[in-house]
Amino acid sequence: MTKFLALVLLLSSPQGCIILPVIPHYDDSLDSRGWIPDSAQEFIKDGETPLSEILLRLGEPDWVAEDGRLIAYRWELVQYIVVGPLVGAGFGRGHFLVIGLNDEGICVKHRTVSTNAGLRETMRYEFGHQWKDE
Amino acid sequence: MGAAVLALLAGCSTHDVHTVPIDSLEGADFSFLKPGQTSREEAVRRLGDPTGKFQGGVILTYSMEPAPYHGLKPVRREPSLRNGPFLGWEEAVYSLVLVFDSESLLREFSLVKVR
Repeated sequence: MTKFLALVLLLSSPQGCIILPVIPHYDDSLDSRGWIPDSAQEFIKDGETPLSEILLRLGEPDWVAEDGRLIAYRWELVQYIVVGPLVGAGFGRGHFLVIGLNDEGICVKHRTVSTNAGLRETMRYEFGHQWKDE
Repeated sequence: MGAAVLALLAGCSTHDVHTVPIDSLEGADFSFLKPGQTSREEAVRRLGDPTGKFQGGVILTYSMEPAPYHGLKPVRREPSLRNGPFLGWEEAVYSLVLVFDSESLLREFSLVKVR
């Protein structure tokens, strides 16, 4: 209990707000898709799973590269809430499931990344995607 | 004690993505979707322009929102300030996925609850 109180005090801001970590969870207000847990990704096998099966199981992706060889699903989970003037306001962390496809539309690699970086940065640094305007 | 407080703050919603039976939604009529029979042209005529098109139109996707008395209806997804280049899922709750064969006849389809 003492450790918990110390953590709360540590996270208190000078403005009187308290930032509390919470168990990561989905919140409708975040306007993102629902999360895709590891268990829902188990059917994806590199070198085997076709795009059609991925879409049939996970739905429309949130982003598709211009050449169609990378698709991304993104969801956000609340990890902290702010208690104070913005009572109950939550903010979270982005999660990407990125799937690389070959010319035949077969998954050749897939990976989940948790990051607060945006799409451009995540695709550039994590997946080596070259943006046309760069 | 601390763990209990955190658990309470977290709530209990999961909202993981999963497929749902196409006929499980009251008022939603997708009976015109028949594998091996329904053509891509007919699907587009009934549902409108898809929100996603893949592999040269072999796969079409429709974002769907619940509509009173009509089950589901297609909805356009708009870029949101919060999501940057991503399209928001504000209204869309379901994703209808249609896969066609080489003769442009429906091969299989699914309805995915995305949030």
